Amino acid sequence: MGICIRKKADFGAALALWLGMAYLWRETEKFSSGAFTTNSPQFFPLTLIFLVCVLSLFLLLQSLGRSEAPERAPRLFSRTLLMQTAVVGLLGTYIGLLPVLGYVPDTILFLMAGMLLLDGRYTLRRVALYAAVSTLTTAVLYGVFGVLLHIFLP
Amino acid sequence: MLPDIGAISYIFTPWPLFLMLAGVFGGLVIGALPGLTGTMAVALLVPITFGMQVDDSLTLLVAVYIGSISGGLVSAALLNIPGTPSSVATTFDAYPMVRRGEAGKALAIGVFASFMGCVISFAFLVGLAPVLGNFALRFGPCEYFALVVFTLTCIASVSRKSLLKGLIAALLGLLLSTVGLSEVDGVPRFTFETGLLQSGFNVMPVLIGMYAISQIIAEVHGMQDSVHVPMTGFTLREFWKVVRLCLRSWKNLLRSSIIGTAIGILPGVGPGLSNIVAYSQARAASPNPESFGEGNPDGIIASESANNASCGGAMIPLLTLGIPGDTTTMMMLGAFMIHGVQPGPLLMRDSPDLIIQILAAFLVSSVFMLLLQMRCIRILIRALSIPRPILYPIILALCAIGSYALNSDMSDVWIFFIMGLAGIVLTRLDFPLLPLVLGLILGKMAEQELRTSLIMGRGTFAEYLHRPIALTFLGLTLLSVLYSVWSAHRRKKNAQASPGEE
Repeated sequence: MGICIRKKADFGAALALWLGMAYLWRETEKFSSGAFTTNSPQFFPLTLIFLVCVLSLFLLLQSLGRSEAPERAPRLFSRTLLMQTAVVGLLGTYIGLLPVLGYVPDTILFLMAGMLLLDGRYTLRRVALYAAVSTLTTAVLYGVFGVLLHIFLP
Repeated sequence: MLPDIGAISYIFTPWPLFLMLAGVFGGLVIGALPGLTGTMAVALLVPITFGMQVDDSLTLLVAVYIGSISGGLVSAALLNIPGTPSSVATTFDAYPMVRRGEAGKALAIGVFASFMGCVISFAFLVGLAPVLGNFALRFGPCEYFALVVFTLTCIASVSRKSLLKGLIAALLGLLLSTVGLSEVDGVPRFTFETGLLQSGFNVMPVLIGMYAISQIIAEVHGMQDSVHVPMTGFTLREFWKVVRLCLRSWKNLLRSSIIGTAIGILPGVGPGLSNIVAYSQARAASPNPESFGEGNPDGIIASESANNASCGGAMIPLLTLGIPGDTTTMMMLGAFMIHGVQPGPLLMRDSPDLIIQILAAFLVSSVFMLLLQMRCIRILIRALSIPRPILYPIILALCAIGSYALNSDMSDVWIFFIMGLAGIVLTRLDFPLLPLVLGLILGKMAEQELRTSLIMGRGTFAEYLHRPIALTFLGLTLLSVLYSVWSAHRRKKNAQASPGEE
C-alpha cells in the first residue's frame, strides 16, 4: 500500500496552477520598476502568486494519500457531457458569427438550433414552433436593446 | 439620517412604482423556475438597466432581488424542487401539505411568512445601516484591507467542500483584478501586450459568464421531461385565516426573521443557509418536533421568513461597507459600480437620498411581492411549465447581447464566454465561484488600501498594530480559518468512525 494519487482532478489542478503561476511570475518582470519594494507595482501580484503556489502545494499534498481504492475517474463520455459540450460549442459559434452574420440572422439561427438541440425531437411541428419563437424573441430583444435603449447591435 | 421627503416621494411616482411592480413580478417568475436564481435574475437585468437613471435602475434591481427570493416558494411547495437554494427547507413541510390537498394553504403561509421576513429585516436594515455606516466612517486603509481579507476568508470558509479551494479561488479573483493598468502607478500589468486587457476585466461580463453559463450548463439534462404542475391558488378569505395562523406563531416568525437577517449580514452565507438554520431552530423549539417534515406550517413559516429576511441582512453590509452579503448582492454591487455608485460609508454620508430610495424601494417591493403573490399565484404556477429547451437558449442569447450592450464591445462578449468556460471547469473541479468573483470585485480596493497602509507603516505592517478595528478583523479571519480547519477535521473523523453513514 504505497502513496498514490487519490484525487486526480485536484492533482491536475494543483499542477496547472503551478504552471500558470510560473508563467505569471515571468510576466511580472515586464512591469518591474527596478527594486522590489512594498510600493512597487509587482508587489501585490507577486504576493498573490506566492500564496497561490503555497496553497496549491497543500492541494497537491491533499490529493495524494495512502489509499487502496483511488477515487473513480469521472466518465469521459456521457450523454449529458456531450450535450453540455454541444451547447458550449453552439454558444461559441454564435458569438464568433455575431459580427459576421449580424445580430438578427445569427440570433434566430442560434436560438432555433439551441432549442432543437436541447429538445432532441426534430419533428416538423417542433421546427416550425421553434422558428416562430426564435424570430419573435429576436425581435423582442432587438426592440429592447436597439429601439428602447438605443444600443447599436452588431 | 433624517428621512428626506423628496427621496421618499420619488418612489411613489408612477414610473418607479411600475418598475418595482415589473421587477418583483420578473423576479418572482425567475425565482419560481427551478435552476434559475436571484443572481441570474439580476444578471439578466443589469444590461437592461444600463441606459436608465441611477435611481430607477437601483430601484428595479432591489425589486427583482426581493421577488426572486420569494419566487422559489412556488416550485418548492408544488414540485418538491426548490426554485432557489433559499427554499430548500420550504420543501420539507410545504410538499407534504400539498400532497394531502392543502396546496393553497401551504402557498398562502409561505407568501405571508416571506412578507413578514422582509418587513422585519427592513426594520433591522433601517436601524442598523446608519449606525454601521457611521462606524465605518472611522475606517482607514488598514481597516478596509483587513475587512476585505476577512470577507474573502469568510466566504472561502463557507465554500461547499474545501477551505483550501475557496482560498485559492479568492486569490485567483484578486489576481484577475490586477490585470490592466495599475490604478496607483498606471503601469500595464498582465495585458500580454494586447489592447483588449488594457482596462482590465469588466466586472459584469465576468459575473454574468461565470454564473449564467455554468448554471445553465449544469441544468442541461432531463430537458425533455415535461413538468406536471398542480394548478392551485387561495382565496382572500383563506389567506386571512392563514395570516391569523402565522401571527399565532409570532415567536417562530420573529426568531426565524432575526436568524435570517443575522445570517444575511455574514459575508457569503445568505438565504441558502438561513432557511435551513431557521428551520432546525423552529423544530428544536417546537413542542411537536416529530410533526416537522410531515406538513407542519411552522416549518414553512421558519424557512420562508428566514430566506426573505436574509435579503435585508445582506443589504446591510452592501450599503454600509460596500461588501456584499451573498451572490445576488454581489451581482448588485457590480451593477451599482456600472452606474458609478460605490456603496459604502461615503455613500451613506454623501448621498443619503439614494440610500433612502433604496430602503423605500425595499419596503414597497415587499408589499408588491405580497400583493402579486396573493393575486397572481396562478401565473407563477403557469411559469413553471415553460419548456426549458425554449428558455435556456433565450437566457444565453440575452446574456451574450447584454454583455455586448454594456460597452458596445465584442471583447466583453468574448470575456463573458471565456469566463463561462472557466466557471464550468472550476465548478467541475469543486472550486467555488463566489470567492473568485468577489476577489475580482474587491481586488482593486484591497491593493490600493494595502499599499497605502504599507506606506503609512514605512514599508512594514507596523501600522496595523495601532489599529484595533483592523486587528479585530484579522483576528476574526484567523478564527474563521481555524474553525473551518477544525470542523473539516471533525467531519473527517466522524466519517472514519461511521463509514456507512453520509
